[in-house]
Amino acid sequence: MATSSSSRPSVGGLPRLSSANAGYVLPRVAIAVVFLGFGIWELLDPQYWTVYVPGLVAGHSWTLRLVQVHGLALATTATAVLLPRYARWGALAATLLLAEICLDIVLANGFTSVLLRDAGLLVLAAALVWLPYPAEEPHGSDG
Amino acid sequence: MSPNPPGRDTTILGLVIVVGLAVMALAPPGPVAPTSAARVVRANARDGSGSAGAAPSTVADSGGTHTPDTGGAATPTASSTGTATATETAGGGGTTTSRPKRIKLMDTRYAKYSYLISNETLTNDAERALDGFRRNRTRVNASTVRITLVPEEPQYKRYSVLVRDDQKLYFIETSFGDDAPHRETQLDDDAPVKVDSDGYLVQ
Repeated sequence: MATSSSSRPSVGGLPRLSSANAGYVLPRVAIAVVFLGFGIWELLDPQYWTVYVPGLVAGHSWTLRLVQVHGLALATTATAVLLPRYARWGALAATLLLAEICLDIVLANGFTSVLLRDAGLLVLAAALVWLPYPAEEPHGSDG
Repeated sequence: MSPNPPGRDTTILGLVIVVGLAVMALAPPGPVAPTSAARVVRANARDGSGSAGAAPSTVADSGGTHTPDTGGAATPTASSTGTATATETAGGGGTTTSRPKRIKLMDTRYAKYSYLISNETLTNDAERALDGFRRNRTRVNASTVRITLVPEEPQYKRYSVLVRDDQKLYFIETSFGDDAPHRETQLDDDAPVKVDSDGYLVQ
């Protein structure tokens, strides 16, 4: 283990990027960047995103809080995806969040280009749930 | 040496959640957001009887309303100098018999979400608010222009309105979150609103 670790030292929870592990490191970083960016945005400027709040819960005093909670969920998911121990759970959470987002877009606007983009992210996140992680990186399901 | 101690991951995750909660606690979101300008302005119009259909014709639900006015509708008040109202029943679906209460756009909470789009040139913010629409501005006669908003998404319908020189047309966009560059994905927060020379809602 020590030998393996020293040959592939981790950086901030992720193993150092190499051609051997890029296939599972880069998708996690990509998903995390997207989720973290939108999560922070929703936390700091919830008004900007109120248009996506479903009509059923829109217009209440706690609507903006709801957006912030969603932002916190996104940020937490982003962090989990990056952390080896929680990578798989994070990917599962990301999949569920993107499914919720896609469903909301379908119900509100039908098929749009935004839906197509988010569906692509959804498949990417879902793939991370089943990705066979290298043995040296413990993750949620077996770590 | 273990590269990823499980305890460290849990600590990091917990830290992110705590920081997020702290941000929520320290940065209260403020007053309730008008998530749908169209809905609430319609409600205002109903509550106060609006200015004879003060409900703005939204792009989403007006189905491309082409106002049947003749150079611009005016509110049915003594001070109005224009012709009869264009959409008497737009707000409530029935005829209005009581004298309506006038609503000044800049006195509503939509003031800060309103972008002037009837001018010949648009500000940067107005252009951004109109993302997803192409604005055509053509002069009909010496005192009237026609503003047409053509949506770039084919499922939405166009909006066209006549605006007299003493009137102004604003576009309400409460949230830019749905506006990708040159694209509009959610019309529920958008509404063109015409006001008279004093700033009162006309349509």
